[in-house]
Amino acid sequence: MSSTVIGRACFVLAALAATGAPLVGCHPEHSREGIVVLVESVPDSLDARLTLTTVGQRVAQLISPGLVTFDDEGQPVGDLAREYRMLDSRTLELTLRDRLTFHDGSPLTSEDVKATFEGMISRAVPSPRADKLEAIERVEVTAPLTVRIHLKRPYAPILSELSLGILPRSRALPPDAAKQDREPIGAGPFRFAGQLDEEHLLLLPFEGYYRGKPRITKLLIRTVRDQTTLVLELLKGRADLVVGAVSPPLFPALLADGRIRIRSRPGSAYAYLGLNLRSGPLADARVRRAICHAIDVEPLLQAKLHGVAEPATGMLPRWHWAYAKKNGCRHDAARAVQLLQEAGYAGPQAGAEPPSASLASPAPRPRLHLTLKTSTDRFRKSIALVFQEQLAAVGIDLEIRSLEAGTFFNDVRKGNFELFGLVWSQVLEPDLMRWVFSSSNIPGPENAFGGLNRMGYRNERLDEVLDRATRVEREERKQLYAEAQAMIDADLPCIPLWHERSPAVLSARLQEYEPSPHGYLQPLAGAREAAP
Amino acid sequence: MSGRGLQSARGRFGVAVAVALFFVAAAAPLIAPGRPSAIDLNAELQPPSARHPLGTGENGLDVLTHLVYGARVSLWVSVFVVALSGAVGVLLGGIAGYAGGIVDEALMRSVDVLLAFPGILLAIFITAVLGPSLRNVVFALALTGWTGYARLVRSQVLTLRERDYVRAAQALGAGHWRILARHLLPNAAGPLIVQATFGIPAAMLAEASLSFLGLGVPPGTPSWGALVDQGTQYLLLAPHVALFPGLAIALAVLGFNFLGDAVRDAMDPKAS
Amino acid sequence: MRRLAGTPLAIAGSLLLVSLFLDLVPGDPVELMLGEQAPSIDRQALRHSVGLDRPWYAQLWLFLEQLATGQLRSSLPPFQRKVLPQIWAALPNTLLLTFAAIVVAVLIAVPLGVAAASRKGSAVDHGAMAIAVAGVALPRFWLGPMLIILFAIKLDWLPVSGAESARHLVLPAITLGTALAAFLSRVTRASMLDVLREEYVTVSRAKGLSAWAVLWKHAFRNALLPIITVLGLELGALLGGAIVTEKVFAWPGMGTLLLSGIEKRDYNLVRAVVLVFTLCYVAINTLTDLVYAAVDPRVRHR
Repeated sequence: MSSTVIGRACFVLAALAATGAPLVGCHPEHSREGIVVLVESVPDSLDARLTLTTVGQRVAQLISPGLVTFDDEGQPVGDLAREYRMLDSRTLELTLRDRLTFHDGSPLTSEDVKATFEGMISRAVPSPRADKLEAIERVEVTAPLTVRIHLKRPYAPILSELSLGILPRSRALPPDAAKQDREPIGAGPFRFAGQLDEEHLLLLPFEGYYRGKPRITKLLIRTVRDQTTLVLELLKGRADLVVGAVSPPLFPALLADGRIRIRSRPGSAYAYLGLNLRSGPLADARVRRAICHAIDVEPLLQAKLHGVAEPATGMLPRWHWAYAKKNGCRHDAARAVQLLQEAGYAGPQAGAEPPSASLASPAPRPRLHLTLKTSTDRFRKSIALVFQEQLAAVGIDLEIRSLEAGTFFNDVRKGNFELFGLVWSQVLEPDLMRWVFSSSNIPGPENAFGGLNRMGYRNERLDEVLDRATRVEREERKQLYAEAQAMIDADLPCIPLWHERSPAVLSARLQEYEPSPHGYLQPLAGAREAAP
Repeated sequence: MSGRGLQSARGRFGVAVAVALFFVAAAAPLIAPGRPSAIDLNAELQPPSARHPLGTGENGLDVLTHLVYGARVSLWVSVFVVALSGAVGVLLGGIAGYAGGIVDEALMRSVDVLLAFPGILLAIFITAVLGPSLRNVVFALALTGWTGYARLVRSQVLTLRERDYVRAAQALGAGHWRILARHLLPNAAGPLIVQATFGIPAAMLAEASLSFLGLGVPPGTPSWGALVDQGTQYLLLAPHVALFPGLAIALAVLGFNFLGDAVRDAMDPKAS
Repeated sequence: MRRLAGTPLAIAGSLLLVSLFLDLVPGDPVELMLGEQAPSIDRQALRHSVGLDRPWYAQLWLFLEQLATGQLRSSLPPFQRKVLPQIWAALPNTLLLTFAAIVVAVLIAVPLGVAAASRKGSAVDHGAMAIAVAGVALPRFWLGPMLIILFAIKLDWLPVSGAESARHLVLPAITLGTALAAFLSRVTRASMLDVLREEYVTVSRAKGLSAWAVLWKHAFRNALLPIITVLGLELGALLGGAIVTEKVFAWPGMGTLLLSGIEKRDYNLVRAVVLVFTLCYVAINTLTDLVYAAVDPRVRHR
């Protein structure tokens, strides 16, 4: 009898296993056509005006590019616009390329450009990007392919804002504007072909693309949230491209497969530690510099980031047109200790052990206790732990508080922190420095705590310089930004860490893909599928 | 089964695990091969070796060291949670059972409300509001865990309330608190102890779950749950990081469950 | 009957509690969305458009209103997506997972428990019960990854995560159901033992019925009821365990929806999901109580 009981159990378990049996030996990638791109989250919107996530922006841009895009030095160059020039300090004239068409076949003319911008400026479309266009007074159509943008005042950064995706005039205003969210139309290399379900987006190559129809036959954009699955899908040959979503420590697992390549170009994602200058120990510049000297990013760049980042001395990356060489602060623990002592934080000798848990063995009293707030992202947390160790070596006890996103942002906005760690995903327009370091942008009730100068940094001269830089020509801008960078470098309102790349993981099937330094998906337009 | 209660094979196992856990937690600095905060960026995610018997994790942390120190966190949190939730539950349950009427109704309704959605949810909310720290984890878990003790004590008190000796004491003018403390509650001691013994592994699992969700202990604190969380990121490269702490949790939970069984058997006059 | 009276109170209470908590939790969806963007005076307008500038009880009232008219919209501007379709998509996934877990649990527990009971005291009994106890001790968030390592990575039989096909259900169901299986097998064994002691069993044996028939046709049927009752009691815990399991396997169910709603501060979504959870819990508890009440007199009758 017992044998029959066991026999029954075996039968049941075998039935269960049988549901898994057909999988053994099933490798569908050989019969697959088209390219599969994996992204780490579902694009929040396919409307370039509304999307706020990096994934959303990259996909939206692929479908609906704008008048300009950015070259390898971070300079705006023509995308849909063939060329541009400043007629005077307040008028910008752009000439569109010939024979531009939208995905629905209609021609793209200056009327569409005007409509797109006016839809934004009038706030008819509730886009957060509208603020950046605030300097535009009106848009004038002078010829079918020529557009003049009249500014309220000289405003150099406006050029960077012209990367906004151009939409057909019918989509510029409500009610049809809402359609763009789920069924977008643009003039990009790939057109929207269907949202199969929430996690599968299908794009097809567009014959009318001005650079020619892409060679890729089909583009499937799939959302996979879990890192292990991302890597496995690549290893199993079921995905062809992942940009930036794979955490660097997992690279060895990918590179173990000889057919997978990881390509990247120096990027502009700026990782930094924000410091609270309003009060407390960090108001003292010597303490800030001491922290800067105590931190050593080299081992992190090699070991944790696996070479996909370059050390930073300021907000602008080395290859940026406005970059100016600065001193930065080299790793120098002795100098850090000296500075701390000068600032009045004497204490036991360096080497105090940080009490990483209240239950660990009691440590000698450190000189200084500081708190670093970070998100729940595991990678960032592990990086913070390295800083903790490095600061402990100079006698600073760094407590790490990892907060979930909402709480974290809230604290950062309200100035409720000592240090925080964040990454600016892209630094292309140097005017970002004004948003981040100008004293008029300190979060307060007047800007509903939306200001980006979370450090509370005040420097009148810097304010003047950065303000002037919005009004002048490129050459003078460069000089002004050089001066600004020097000032920021001297005061260290935030500690520059590194500039991260957006590494592209490529399967053997995807060929001739030249990764963009900015993590864009545009290179898919020029890539091709390898023959199976 | 040889012997019963604490003498049984399982009982002995349970006692052994509990004792071992306490010992490891207390003697952690002496036993562990290194400091929990030690970092070695060049030795990240290495498999077990002579230098690191259980391998290394993120930042080169020694898994064995974190396992040993993690015992402290697990034990500390679970003991405190049981103590706190037990105290609150006993108090509230005793009052409700003794007073009866509206007080009792109010308590039971609030228990219903609390039980109406998953405990982990409440814990998530609390830690999201208060921020992750050991103290807040204990607070959150205690807040969700007192209901069991309350119910137990309440039902005990309810049954005993009508007994003669209680009425006698009341007639003699003894104060309510005294009656509660002296006569009623001690009778609930037995089941309470059993409940508490089972409460420890439950709290351990809850803390580990919270740490797994990223809402438990602060980063860098050695915790078994946090280690498993870390390990799930690196399943492809370093499965050992998730494997060993999970085994530790399982062993501890197993041991305390056995202990609870044994204690319950020992208290139960009817032999199984 | 008293239970039913307490139900709306429990639901109302939990809704109130959640709304209060949401008010306490720092940050709001507008801030989260715009966190890294240039400052906008329109943050206030955006907030106003989703009613975030009103006190928590006004928001709760608005929520209830919208719910009643079926027009519940998410708290995330600018195009607030409807909440009910999201729940409608996620709920079946969670129910499917829970159901599959129950199936797994029963398929493991029943043979194990019956075998242990029929061979009480033997090696089979001890072994089965050891497995059972071990099953309860294994944390789900650990068992899941271990199964993933073995079946998805090393053997490549099953997918790692997601919910794209029937195969994707296997590992999550096993992970969620194992603890229940362990507990259920002990209950099965205990209840089978109780029944096997009954007179009518020995009578049947004496009548010459095969041991097999006795076991399955008579004993098991009667042992079934307590098993089902316990199942009902544990169902609530299963829903809670589903949250962790969904996270491990990126299963797009209610748990995932809830966690992402909390993360994004989508207040209306969180309220709605908690409401659904509460309703499920209450429904399960009520059902179990009713079954128990129905079963009880018969058991006592014997």
